[in-house]
Amino acid sequence: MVRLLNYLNEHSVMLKRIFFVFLILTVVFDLYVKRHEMHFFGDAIIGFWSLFGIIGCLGMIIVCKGLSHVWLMKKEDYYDK
Amino acid sequence: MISSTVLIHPTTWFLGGAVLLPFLEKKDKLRKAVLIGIPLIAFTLIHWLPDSFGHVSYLGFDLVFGRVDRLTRVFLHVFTIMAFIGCIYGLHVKETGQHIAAFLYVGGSLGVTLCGDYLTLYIFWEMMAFSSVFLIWYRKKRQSIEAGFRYILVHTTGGLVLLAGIFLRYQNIHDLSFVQIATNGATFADYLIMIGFMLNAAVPPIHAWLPDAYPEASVTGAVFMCAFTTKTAVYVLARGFPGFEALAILGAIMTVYGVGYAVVENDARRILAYHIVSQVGYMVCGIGIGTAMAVNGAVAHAYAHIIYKGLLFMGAGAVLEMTGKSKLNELGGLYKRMPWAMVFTVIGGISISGFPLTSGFISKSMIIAAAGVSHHPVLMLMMDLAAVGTFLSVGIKLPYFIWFGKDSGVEAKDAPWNMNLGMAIAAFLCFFLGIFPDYLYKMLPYPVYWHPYNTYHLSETLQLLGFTGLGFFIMVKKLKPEPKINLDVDWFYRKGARAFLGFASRRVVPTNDWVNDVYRNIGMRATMALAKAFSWFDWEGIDWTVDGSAKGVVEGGNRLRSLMTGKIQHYIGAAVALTFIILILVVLI
Amino acid sequence: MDTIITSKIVLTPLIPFVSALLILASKNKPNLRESWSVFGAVLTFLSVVYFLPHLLAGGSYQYTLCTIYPGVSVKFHLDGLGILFAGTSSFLWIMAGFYCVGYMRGLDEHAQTRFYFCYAVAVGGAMGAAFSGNLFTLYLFYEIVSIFTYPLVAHHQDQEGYFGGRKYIVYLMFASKAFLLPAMVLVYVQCGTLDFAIGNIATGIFPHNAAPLLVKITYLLCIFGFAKAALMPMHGWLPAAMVAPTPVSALLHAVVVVKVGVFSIARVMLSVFGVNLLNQLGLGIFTAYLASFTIILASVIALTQNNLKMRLAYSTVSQLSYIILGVAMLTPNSITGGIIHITNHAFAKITLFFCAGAIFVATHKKNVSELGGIGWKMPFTMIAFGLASLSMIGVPPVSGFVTKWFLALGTLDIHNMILLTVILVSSLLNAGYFVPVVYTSFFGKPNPGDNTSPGFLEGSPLIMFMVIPLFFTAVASVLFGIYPDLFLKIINLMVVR
Repeated sequence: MVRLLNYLNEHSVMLKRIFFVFLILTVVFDLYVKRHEMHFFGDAIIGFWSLFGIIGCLGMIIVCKGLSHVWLMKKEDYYDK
Repeated sequence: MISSTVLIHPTTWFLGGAVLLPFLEKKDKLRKAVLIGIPLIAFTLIHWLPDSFGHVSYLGFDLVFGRVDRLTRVFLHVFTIMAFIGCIYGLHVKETGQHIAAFLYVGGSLGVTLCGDYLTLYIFWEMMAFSSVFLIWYRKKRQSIEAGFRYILVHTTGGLVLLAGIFLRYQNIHDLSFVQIATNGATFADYLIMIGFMLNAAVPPIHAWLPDAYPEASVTGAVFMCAFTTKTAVYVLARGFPGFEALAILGAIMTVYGVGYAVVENDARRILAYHIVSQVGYMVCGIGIGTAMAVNGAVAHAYAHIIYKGLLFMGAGAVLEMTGKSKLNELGGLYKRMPWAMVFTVIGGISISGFPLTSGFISKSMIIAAAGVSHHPVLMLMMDLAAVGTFLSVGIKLPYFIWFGKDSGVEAKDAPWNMNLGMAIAAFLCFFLGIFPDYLYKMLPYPVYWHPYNTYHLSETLQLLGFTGLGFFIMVKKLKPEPKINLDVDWFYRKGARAFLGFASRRVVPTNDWVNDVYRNIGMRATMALAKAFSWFDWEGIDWTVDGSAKGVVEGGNRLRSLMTGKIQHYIGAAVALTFIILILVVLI
Repeated sequence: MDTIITSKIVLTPLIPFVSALLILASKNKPNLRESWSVFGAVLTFLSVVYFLPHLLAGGSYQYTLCTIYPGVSVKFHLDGLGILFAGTSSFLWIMAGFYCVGYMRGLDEHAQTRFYFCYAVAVGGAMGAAFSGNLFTLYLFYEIVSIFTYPLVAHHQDQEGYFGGRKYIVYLMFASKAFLLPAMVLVYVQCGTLDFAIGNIATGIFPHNAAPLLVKITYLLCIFGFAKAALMPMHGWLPAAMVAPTPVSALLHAVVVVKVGVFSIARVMLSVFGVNLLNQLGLGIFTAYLASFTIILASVIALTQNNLKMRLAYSTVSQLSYIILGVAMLTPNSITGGIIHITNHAFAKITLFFCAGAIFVATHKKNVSELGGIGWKMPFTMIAFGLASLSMIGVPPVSGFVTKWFLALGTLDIHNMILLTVILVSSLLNAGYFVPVVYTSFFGKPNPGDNTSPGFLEGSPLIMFMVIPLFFTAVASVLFGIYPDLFLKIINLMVVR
């Protein structure tokens, strides 16, 4: 199994391509999915959750890292003084 | 017969095991048999429990040690399974004390789950707190000892708030039974109880003890702790406070709060600890929403979470055990050296993120959908956002920086067989529940109409997870872990306690010392003066008359007293003078 | 509810005095001397137990030894409160008897005969106080306890011992002569008698037309006069008395001496003033706040003390005020809580002091910061310490929880949230200063320069003499928490009138 992972590691470019294809497929898949109950406006939009995923992810990283660097991050021995 | 009811209560077996273990220190095989056997016995026992048992009279109250319904059974089921897995994982631990602490802890948790009245709840609640603290202390590092002390103080405070609530509730309704509280009938006492429960569930702002203490616990200790304290709190909240809107809102906030910290933290177990806050948020939110589907979702999520969080802590623990490190900036590339641990941990990661075919998918989605169904779109979106963060922090970031990424060159062997076995069982369960969700759904308290595997949900989940992954790889450089900590609300009481102790030492103690010496500073001088003023009476004689037949004793006392300075005589003289003044006043008035 | 008049109840205070004389007589034969100590303790305890059945049936015992003049006599009258105090003290004297052997011989202490002699007389004084039937007898035996514990405090006869002893005796004597004596006189003048109203805690012995101001003055003189109860600011003698050898600190300053103090205050409040009068004049709630002040302040000071015995001393000051608080709230629940704490605290505190002494004999360590790693060398001791700490913190099912439960119910009966908060906050403070001792002893780093041999220090016979009693009392603390029914019944009979 370690060999499999080493193989994958070396062929990371191929992995990336497969990943992108997968992403496009999920959005396309969404086109054909039947919507049953609309609880929420986003349920009707195709690809809504993709957008939510990417924006949410990036937004979270930026906001959290930002807060951390600006305010909350301290050296590890902060409480020992 | 009381003895049969005692024996059928699973806690008794754990207590018995705890008492037995010290004697088995030299008998290794027998000890291991006990460690594995007792959770198995407990697991079988719970299937035969009657609906109500163990009524004991104490202090004039009727204690109910056993009250069993569907809600109880599902939690007992997962708690005993987790105890079993945890004991397998910890078989190699030589310190009996850790095993005893774990047994007492699990026993306490089962006791709380089974109890039917608040007094029994409180007894086992405190037992959980005081035994789990040892699981932190057994790590034996200076930080662990201090973290454990803070943990026990915080939990004692929470327990006292709970106790205050119990007392006030008793005063209001003269009934200690632990039943559901109506949302419109909650009194101040009930809110106090809820706060006490919320502390153990790590609801912000009283959550900081969790990320403070869990990373400092021992390797096996953390595995136990992640499962029991918070989920027992979820159980009691589900029992007592379903439908309280405050819980729904706080729960949703919790999910995002926990995940936010998890994204930026450095220590692997601290990330997981903050993540517990996030996942418990789902459960608290579900309980807060209160519909049958939401509560079902919360319970299902609790069940699944115990298993996969345990798995993740086992993985991080294995890394810690074999490399001595848990900080992400010091790890990387371990997949070559600990392949099995990696596989299992990754399974845990995808399960917690809610990939299809895993337990997370069938449980988390139920709560989120319940929020949607009951028209709480904001809560639903917050929980979805937290799902993004979950996958980001624990599904990708954590495995990436430990197992993949830049090789840190850390040397390690793969974990011992028992640790791998524990992880394997948990990983198996993650898939089992994901593929056959009905096994779990049948145990839930309310009938389940939810079908997780339909095309829409699959599409939604795959999109969400896929694009989160994309986001990670775009920002992977920004997410590089740094060896720093992030402050949380515990700043207030950590700094505050230091200030308080300073005040005590610098102001209170010197004042007290001065007061204690007052007799010497002021009293002596005043009495000396008074005594001299009255020294023209024969005080000896008057002294004896008042004491009457105690004369002999006083004489003996005088001889002893004459070992010291003569000042004593003057004190007594002055006191007797005072007596006579009062007597005179009384007679004349 | 009949009162039996029998001279047998004089036996209980008498047996310790006789033991003391026998101890004196066998001063050259140490084994015989120690045996008299233990034997006397066992006999005293058995004599207390002898009176229990009749008391459980709702009766009491009485005997007048001699009358000095009308209203002033040496009189004994036994009820539930008295038997609980006497039983606790005599039983723990048995434990202490064994413990002393280990301690005194382990440290090769001097003047052991004087030690055992004074020890026995002190306990005898406490028995007399427990059995006393009027204020005069109580005062008499109270003073006996003060005087005969002085040589025990100053035992080491060094600079520290003399200073500590002086502070001790001055505080106690000043308080008793300056406050108690006038108080006694005032009571006599107002009531015409000094006899306790045993069996009836509602009315006391004051007449209906007693002048309120005078009653209040008398009351204040009483509660500050009984300085042994360590109500602040009359508490300074207790830390000073820690210079004594630890068996003294354990039995006397955790059980006998301090409990004589709170017992006397409880007795005076219930059987001289009576619940109704105290309620009328608002003295109950006033005392409750005084006690609360002591509880919190003493606990805060305890947090800062590094010397283990000092920490325990301030903890005692704090815990004693629980008893006063309980009685002061004047409801059946709270009085039950206060009185049962006499026993609960006695067992837990004596365990804690026994542990401190055992540690000192085995390792010569006195400070909490020095205790690193000692839990592994003396596991039974530290486990006992842990159990007793749980009792002090009030964790169920150890006995301290029973106390806190009843005290809290009492605060609810009088609808006083401040007092409830005091009780809860003090539990937290207790955790704050007991938990560090436990974790330091098991998980702290041993001091550099310690012999790090993993020896099991509890194996030697002298240390065993100390460890077995302390483990016994620790287990008893747990048992009393699970089965408090006997004590509750005794108190119930007295309280529900």
